[in-house]
Amino acid sequence: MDVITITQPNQPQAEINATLDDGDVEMEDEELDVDVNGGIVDSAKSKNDIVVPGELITDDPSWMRGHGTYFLNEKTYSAVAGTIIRVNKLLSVIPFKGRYSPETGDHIVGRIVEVSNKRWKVDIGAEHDAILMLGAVNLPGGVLRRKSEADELQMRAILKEGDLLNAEVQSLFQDGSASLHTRSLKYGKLRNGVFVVVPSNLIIRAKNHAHDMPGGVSIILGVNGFCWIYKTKENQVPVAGGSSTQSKAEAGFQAATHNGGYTPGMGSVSITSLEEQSSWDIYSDKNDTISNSIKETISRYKNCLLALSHCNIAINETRLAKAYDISLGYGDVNSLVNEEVEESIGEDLINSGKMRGVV
Amino acid sequence: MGLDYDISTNEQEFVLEALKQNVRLDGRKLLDMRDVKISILPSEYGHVEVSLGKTRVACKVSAEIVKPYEDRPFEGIFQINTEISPMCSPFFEIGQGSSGSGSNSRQANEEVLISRMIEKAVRRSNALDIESLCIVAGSKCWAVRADLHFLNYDGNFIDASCIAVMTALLHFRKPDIEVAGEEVVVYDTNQREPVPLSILHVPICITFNFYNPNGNEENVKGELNNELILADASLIEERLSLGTMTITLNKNQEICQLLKSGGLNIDASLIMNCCLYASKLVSRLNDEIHEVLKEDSKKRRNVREEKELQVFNERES
Amino acid sequence: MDTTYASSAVKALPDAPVLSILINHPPFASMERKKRPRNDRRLAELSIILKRCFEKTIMLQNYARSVIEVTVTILSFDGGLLATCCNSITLALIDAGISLYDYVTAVTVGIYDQTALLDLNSLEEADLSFITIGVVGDSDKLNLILCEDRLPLDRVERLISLGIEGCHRLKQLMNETVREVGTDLLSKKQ
Repeated sequence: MDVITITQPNQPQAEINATLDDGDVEMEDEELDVDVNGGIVDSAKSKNDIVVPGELITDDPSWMRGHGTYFLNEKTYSAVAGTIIRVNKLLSVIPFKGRYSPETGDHIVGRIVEVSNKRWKVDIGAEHDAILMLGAVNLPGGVLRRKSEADELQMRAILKEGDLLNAEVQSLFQDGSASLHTRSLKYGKLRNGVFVVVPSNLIIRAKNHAHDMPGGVSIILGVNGFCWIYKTKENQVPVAGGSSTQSKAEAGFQAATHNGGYTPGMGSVSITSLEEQSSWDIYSDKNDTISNSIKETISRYKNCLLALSHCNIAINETRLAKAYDISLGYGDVNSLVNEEVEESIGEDLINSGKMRGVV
Repeated sequence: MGLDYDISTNEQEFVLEALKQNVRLDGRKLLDMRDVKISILPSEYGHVEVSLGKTRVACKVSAEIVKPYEDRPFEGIFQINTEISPMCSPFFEIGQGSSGSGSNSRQANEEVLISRMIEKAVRRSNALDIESLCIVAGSKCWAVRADLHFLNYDGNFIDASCIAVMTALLHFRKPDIEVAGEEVVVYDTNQREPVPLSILHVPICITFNFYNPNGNEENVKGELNNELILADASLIEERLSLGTMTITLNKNQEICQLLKSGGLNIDASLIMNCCLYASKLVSRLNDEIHEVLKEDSKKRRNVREEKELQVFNERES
Repeated sequence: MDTTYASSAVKALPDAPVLSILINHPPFASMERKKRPRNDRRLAELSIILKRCFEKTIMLQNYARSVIEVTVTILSFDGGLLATCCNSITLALIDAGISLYDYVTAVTVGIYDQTALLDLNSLEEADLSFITIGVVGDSDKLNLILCEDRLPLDRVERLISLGIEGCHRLKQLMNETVREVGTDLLSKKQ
């Protein structure tokens, strides 16, 4: 297998070819799993895997050509600047940057841009707006309720233009646009917080994207780079704990008594008028009262998030918590907006990571 | 935006497949031009109609005396006016040219390109000596204006209009004048023989269209270089082409303007071949223009002589 | 027959991807602080040329139902306008993660007497004949040629070959930058 390069002066090219020639595909595959799930890339290996548009990847026709590549006869070329990813026989290039491309199961944050026939259009920062069908949301009144014509007419009472929500990508259409659903406790309309956008490629994919942070604040790191930082819900079912039936019932009970705080109705099958009343709360537009100290903590998290994105540091829960700790050393929240401070937070974070080996 | 000229998939494939076998719909070879017909209207000076197959363009040159631009007191004014109206094809719309950079419709783009191309080919290349249009520095000069009218569209407006403008300029006569200090006397064309403009060279545009028999990938990475090159495309060929190049040359083998705006990537050697081929075409077209002009002046001389004879006869009797 | 055509704003293919390129030339960018008319025909022409350049270079077939909007703002003008626009758009598209077949690089080449010059400044551009040449990738294939001045036909070949060399060098430089930025981004992901 002889690889013809086209006057490529860069060293890495030769090394890529060498790795391909050696046929150590299995080894690459193992590493790939780590790449996707853990978001941790072996830097020594990945440095070799950088390709730029028009660069020859391989002239072996047995590879299947995936995203970010094109081919002529037997040669496969890269179409974007990014890293080569190999899944079995599928060869694709993931760009360093770029618009978020949704995948089934992604936990994302989005904003309603349009209310149309039995569906909402949601801006999720991808190439196309995602679609949220009326049937894919939890209607007030419990999970067993069927959607009726009345619901179609009052869709704006549930979600209207400009509302933020978190959801899961249910499926993808032919053209790559997403269909969402919010049929779970952890999804739904967002309030009591602040919205931050970071580049989607900085968000490390993880099992869980909703976290309770120290300081009475929770955060949703949407895979699409849209984040939501909000006051931790009182009487909250632990986010990480998921939604066991027991906690649902418990929550329903608490909701009935407290009437507020937690978003009731979702886990309940009761159709009493009280339940009906309070279940609309999950689509309420009114913020709870938030103390100044919580507001400040939210702002601090927001600035930390922006500092990480300014330094192009990939983001996950632990790093954000770390950045938050570091930021406490830089005085009050206002000072964090400074570009130099943002950079030094980033540096501190990287250094602290190096000290421990891994972040 | 006017209506786009839709071509059915069937027809598209037919035309492209034919091109691959070196056959064009009207029976020409790939690099043949259509017959150029230049007709000078006998009524006045500087009114020319050019047809290139079914494409027809009329050009009328006129002149008047105006004040020169303040920053250029020694130069006359030369303007080329192009406005493509729906008359020539329903897919052009009125007043598109002014829609400017904000507009993205294909038609508006085409119009900007056509008018800029003619502007660059004729005006920027100094085909007309604008310094000779100066009468009294800073106060009086000739403003020459060429109005282009597009009468029918069957592809390749640029080549046709360039020939039309140049023939019209060569043919045009401005009234004779006499300068005494600040006073300028303009003589009627009947009193004194009008004078021609001073034309420095005759630029002629040749447009090539490119087609790709293979995929995009082949065009970017392949080494076949077998892109098809057509000269003087008709409307349907122009619609289907994947890139155009217009080269403007004069008979001194000088390039006055050259534009290949994107589209297919064409090997440099093929481009050079196009240039050389174009220079042959240009010298042929140049001869044709001068032939037509010569014939016309012969005709006019005859008419004039007749007139003079008539006057002579009248005096005699 | 012609009257049967209705003039409407309906596009032939509603799903077709759209590439739009807008060039912005603010007054502070050039020596004379001149307000330019909004519909400057010269800029309109440049943006059309650039649009056609990239229409075949971007893998537009991957972007159905989308608009790719490119805005170029000239910060300081000193010659080589079209070439610089072209190079900056290439890099911007790569940075945006948009699929391209290859780099498009462009330079200007001028001629003084018998000497061919690479990359003219605005003073040189004003007095010398020059061509802008755009090349795709490492090939000898020309994506773009623009010449607005008079130029002897027999000189063109030399200018083009010099231009192609210049473009290849530029591609190398751009390549290095893209890799550098990419490596930096990756290193922070660990």
